[in-house]
Amino acid sequence: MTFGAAALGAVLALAQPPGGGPPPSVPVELRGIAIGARIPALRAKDQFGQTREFGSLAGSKGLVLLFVRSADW
Amino acid sequence: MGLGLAAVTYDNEATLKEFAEAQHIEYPLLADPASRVIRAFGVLDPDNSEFNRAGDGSAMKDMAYPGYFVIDHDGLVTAKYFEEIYSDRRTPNSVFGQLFPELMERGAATVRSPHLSVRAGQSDLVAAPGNRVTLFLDIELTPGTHVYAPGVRHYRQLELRLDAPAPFEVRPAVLPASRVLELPAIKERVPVFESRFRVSQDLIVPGRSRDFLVTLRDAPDGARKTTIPGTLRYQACDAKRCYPSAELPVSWTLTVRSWKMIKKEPGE
Repeated sequence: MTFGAAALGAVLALAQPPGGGPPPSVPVELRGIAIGARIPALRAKDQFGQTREFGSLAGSKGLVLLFVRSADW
Repeated sequence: MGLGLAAVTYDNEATLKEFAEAQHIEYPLLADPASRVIRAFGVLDPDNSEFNRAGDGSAMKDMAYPGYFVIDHDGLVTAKYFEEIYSDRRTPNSVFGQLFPELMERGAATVRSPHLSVRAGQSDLVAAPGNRVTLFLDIELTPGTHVYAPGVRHYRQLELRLDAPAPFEVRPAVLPASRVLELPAIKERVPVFESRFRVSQDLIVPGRSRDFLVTLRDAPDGARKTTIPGTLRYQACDAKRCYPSAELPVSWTLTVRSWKMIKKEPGE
């Protein structure tokens, strides 16, 4: 585990209320792997049923990867 | 631009297929129902309360914080954009505008003063509640002229002030790096802007104000056009003299359209 991941884990642990209280939250500056870091393995199926990896998603200059809460509201 | 675009959610393939067809989305939507990718990228939202569950809310949990990563071709993160509140989100155009400022649309009108000309532009002409859009001014000074940057003393520094109507919110203005100008005759070193530069400021379209959402719902075509007035304040100098501080009115027009209207409550 990297220092960054350890720090995030600690924040998450602290963010868990013992019972009741406001919902836990990660400070916005700690959300996501750090700028400059290498991304972890990216492998998932798309809406067409095709398995996609970073290599098949990135263009010649890279990739904009958007995380969305849900498409099912 | 050479950049691919893909989105990740904790939904399953069937949900994403239905959503993509309904919204005519052709770029890849990646299904991550076990939230493995979401965890690996460090964007797991630990709030699994009922409020944070989509669909029927029965089984799905561990959704992502919404936001963007920009990743280079070698797989290194070069930028990321996440917001404090889930309902405030940069539009894709705003993100691309951060990466490629020259691609953001500019208006046709140029406002001129004796010392500079200003052309306004914005990342989006149409936005939805909760969107974060970028408004900007491309400023061009007359040759030999400079204006003062933040940190200067005894002169008026350049400042953009947006008078967005409530409940719109604005974020702090973003100014370019300034240059230090040496003035040996009067023994001064002053931070200045010269030539051409851009000043931008982000605007948050109200996403949580019920009053605003009701006016949007009841507007013709479900859309509302809003003018965002602003003022550019500055003081210009050239090699011979400094001029009185000046103000230049500027404005942007944004159409707000909701993709999902709120329901009427009894009495409305």
